Amino acid sequence: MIVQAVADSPDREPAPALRLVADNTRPGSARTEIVELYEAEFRRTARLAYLLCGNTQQADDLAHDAFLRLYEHWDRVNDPAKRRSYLRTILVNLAHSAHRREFVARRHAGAPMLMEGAATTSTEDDAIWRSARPEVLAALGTLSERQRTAVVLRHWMGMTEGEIAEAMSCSIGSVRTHIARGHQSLALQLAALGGTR
Amino acid sequence: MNEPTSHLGRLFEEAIAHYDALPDVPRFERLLVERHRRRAGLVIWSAAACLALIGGSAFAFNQQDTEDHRLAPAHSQVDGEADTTAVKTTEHRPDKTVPDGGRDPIDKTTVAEPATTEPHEEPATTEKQGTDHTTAPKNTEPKSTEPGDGETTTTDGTPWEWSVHQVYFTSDAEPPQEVFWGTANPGDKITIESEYGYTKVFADDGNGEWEAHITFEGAPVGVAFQVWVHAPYHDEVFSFTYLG
Repeated sequence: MIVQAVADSPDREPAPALRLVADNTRPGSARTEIVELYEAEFRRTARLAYLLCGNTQQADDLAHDAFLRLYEHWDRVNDPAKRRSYLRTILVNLAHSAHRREFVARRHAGAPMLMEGAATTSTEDDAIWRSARPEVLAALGTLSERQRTAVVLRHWMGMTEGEIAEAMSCSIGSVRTHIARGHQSLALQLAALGGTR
Repeated sequence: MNEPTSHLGRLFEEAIAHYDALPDVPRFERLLVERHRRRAGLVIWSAAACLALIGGSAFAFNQQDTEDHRLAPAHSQVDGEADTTAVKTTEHRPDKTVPDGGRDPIDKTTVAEPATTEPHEEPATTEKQGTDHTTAPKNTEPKSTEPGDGETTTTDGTPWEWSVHQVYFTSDAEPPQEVFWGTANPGDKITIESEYGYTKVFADDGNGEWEAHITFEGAPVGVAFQVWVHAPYHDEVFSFTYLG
């Protein structure tokens, strides 16, 4: 790989096109910091993406894309403490965009939505779907995209309503509405699917 | 990682317990490089497009400017002042016995006003107006008997354009200088005369273009005086002021 080649040969002058890349590999640089953040936060980010989209491949892509977007705007987020919340906001927006694209595509194709029911696309999805709580994922898939995001951020991420409102770019009142309606829908779906253990 | 505290959060955690996403650092770094290259390429292409746009615009502007100069030297000066100051009159000869052709100083400065001049006055010529002169000639004028004056059309039958342009209108040089130029029948004699100077040129035998430089020795400072341009079929009068 190019980056490794540059890093493995410190005595050789890198090509001009790769000099910037090589400079970013120094300790303390933005590149090093984003890699460190990636290693620390990717698992949690990918799992959040999976709860938001319900597809492992898409969740993986969304998580990587969120880190890349964060790296593009690295200079804007000077406070390291805010980078995680900024990363979550990026992920929520990416998931929202992906859901909208998928919704439009499937509406024109006449196919049902991916998360409605137990639709899966890979063996990994099948394995997860046959896990301890398949009914939870099924019930979660019945929520609207905004309700699902609000409920997941509130209960799985433990974010406050203000943080959720900032991440979803809406008001706190809207967040409360989404969460309340999500609770009602989840309760109905879980009861219909056999209740919780 | 913070563990979910609510019951619903724990349900979510149990539901995705089998999804263990591990960070793939080499893949992420590869994506970083690709994204970096893509952005760098985008910047380079944008810069190249901007340079091409600016260069193309400059080239086109330069080409147009060159063509304008080829058609009408000092075009902007003629256009800028001809509308307000330079009005040609026809069949108006200076009265040599009276200074300024018998006009008072006020009249010298109001030559530009079409309403105060003779009915045949027309605005200063441009290329198009010059065409009007030839397409609608003043038929009342007798034909000249001078050699070459009868040639009013080109070899392909199109009429020669008559035009005359004044370049400076004012001058602060010592002695004051003025330049007239235009087009006429090839070989025609064009005379420029005023109370303070006289010159003559002949239109080019090929394309009929001519250019005359004239100096006004002893011209009064700050007083506009008239300059007549005579051609076999055309007489034009202009105004000139020596600024001192």
